[in-house]
Amino acid sequence: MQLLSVQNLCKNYDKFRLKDVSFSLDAGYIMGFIGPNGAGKTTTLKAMMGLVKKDGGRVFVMGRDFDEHEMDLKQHIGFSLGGVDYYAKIPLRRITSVVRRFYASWDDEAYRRYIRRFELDEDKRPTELSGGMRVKYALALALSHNARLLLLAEPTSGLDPVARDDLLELFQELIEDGERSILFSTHITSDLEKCADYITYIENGRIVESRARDELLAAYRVVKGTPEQYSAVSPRLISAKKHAFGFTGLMRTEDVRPEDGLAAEAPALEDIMIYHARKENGNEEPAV
Amino acid sequence: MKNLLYKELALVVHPMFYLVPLTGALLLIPQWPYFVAMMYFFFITVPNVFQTARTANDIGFTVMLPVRKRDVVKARLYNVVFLEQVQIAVAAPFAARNNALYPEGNFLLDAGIAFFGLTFAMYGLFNLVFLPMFYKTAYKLGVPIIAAICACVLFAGAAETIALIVPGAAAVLDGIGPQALARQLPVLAAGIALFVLLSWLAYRVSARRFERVDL
Amino acid sequence: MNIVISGASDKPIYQQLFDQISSQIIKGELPKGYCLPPIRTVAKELRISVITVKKAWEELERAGFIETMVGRGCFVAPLKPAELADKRDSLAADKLKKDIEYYKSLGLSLEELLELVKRYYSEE
Repeated sequence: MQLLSVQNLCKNYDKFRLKDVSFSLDAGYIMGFIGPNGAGKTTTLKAMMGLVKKDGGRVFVMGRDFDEHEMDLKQHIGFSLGGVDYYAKIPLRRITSVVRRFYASWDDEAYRRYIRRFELDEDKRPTELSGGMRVKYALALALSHNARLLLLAEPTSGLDPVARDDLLELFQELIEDGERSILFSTHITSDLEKCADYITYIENGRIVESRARDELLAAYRVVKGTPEQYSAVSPRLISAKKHAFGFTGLMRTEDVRPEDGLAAEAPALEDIMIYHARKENGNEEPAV
Repeated sequence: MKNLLYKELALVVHPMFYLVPLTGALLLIPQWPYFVAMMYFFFITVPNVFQTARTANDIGFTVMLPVRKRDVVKARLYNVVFLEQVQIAVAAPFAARNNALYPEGNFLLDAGIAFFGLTFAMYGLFNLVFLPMFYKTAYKLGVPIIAAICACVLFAGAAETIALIVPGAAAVLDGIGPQALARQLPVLAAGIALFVLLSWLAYRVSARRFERVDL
Repeated sequence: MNIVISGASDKPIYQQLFDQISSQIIKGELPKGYCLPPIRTVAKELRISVITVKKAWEELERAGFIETMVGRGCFVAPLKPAELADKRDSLAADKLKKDIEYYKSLGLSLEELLELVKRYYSEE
């Protein structure tokens, strides 16, 4: 069942545009939303949730038009834009007492579990929490009303490696029953190597790729060669970094030819992101 | 509505501001412009409430909740209207005491039934000027509050002046006692009606403007 | 069922799953009718993508090692010993074909290769 479908989302700012952003996510999967800073990840999430007024496009959640059923659908969505950055001087307990009233299916037992799991002290105020703890509190709120769809901006930023690992494990627990899905943006691509089923890659307001992670990784190769080989293959390179003794670049797997004699290896997500970003920036070559 | 108002009162309004309505006690001063007592609401409470909300990033908080964007505005409107009612409710007994203490009346408008009708209208005017101006940016507070205060001072000044110079006006706006009641009740009713209408209009315009603000 | 996933291996993860489960079936460690754990549980336990596990299960099914019963899960297929032996041989043949290419490229003759195989097979 399709839990989320974003269709041709557009938003125009003076200096930036979201252009026909489309992707979809079935129930029971984790999708990583990646892209360089300023590529439009958070703007996309905000436009999906109506925080930013769309200039075009539609969003469907659980098969229903978001704009038409906003109030009802929001009951089934857990949404967080990073850490808690509001009501810095008010104890968490009181903030929660307000939030819970808004959800028909608020699950106090689940909330207690997350508070314990994240080692949060409800008597503290946001201002007394570290960045990582603020993220965890925001997540505890987003997770405690049985949301079907979790939309999380940078949930792992500010977390130490142990907490990040714990969170990613929690994500996999949450989708195990096949009912829930998680879309989270991140610029830490190693988070996704572990748990993401799908990757949506956005750059400069446009979706470059949105597909199963393994498929995405299989579609590209990191190639390495000598300066002489470079000129022969450069039209087929997405972009490349040249150095004194040769070059390293990214190529679509179907463009790799054995007769080129290049060393080709499987890319990491980061490689795909870096070389696409270089292409976007005109493949400027740094001085050697 | 209940939840939105609860949110406002639990998080935005510092309990100290529930003391502001006690400025209603100023109605015990003899020979005084009583509108001033009702104005403390927007001299003190409104700037502080909005300032607190802005510092606390209340908008960021509210949009995380399962509400529509316009409910951010609605919540604040409920809050403002609630505090306006409290201000009036607290002032009313002081007005009654005033009437008992000074049966000879006031050189300006008496704190009578019509006065409260005019206060309702003034608060409606305040809401209409202030909220739509503020929600154009949902951030800049100074100019909207000054503009709204100016509008209200002009309104109060005009009401006082009309009562003084327009023949017959004093008969419906001024005076206390049982015979004034019948003449002034329509003013109160009209004031309340105007308050409701202007506040509703303020919400409509504010919400529309706020929809266009990119958060 | 035992599975060890290596993130550093050149082998794709679904292939690692396939290889390990198929070898356990061939060796009889997973008897016929054995019920494999649900895909989502495997993904969660191994901390890998659901899609990866799904792909491995599909490959296992295509190769005839397991069967899906709708609503009940995946089971090791009821293979006769002879069928198992066939599958074992065909897996080995696939691998061997690839490797022989390499030995040929090194210029090894069949006799030289068999000699090497004999020497190292017993060593391990």
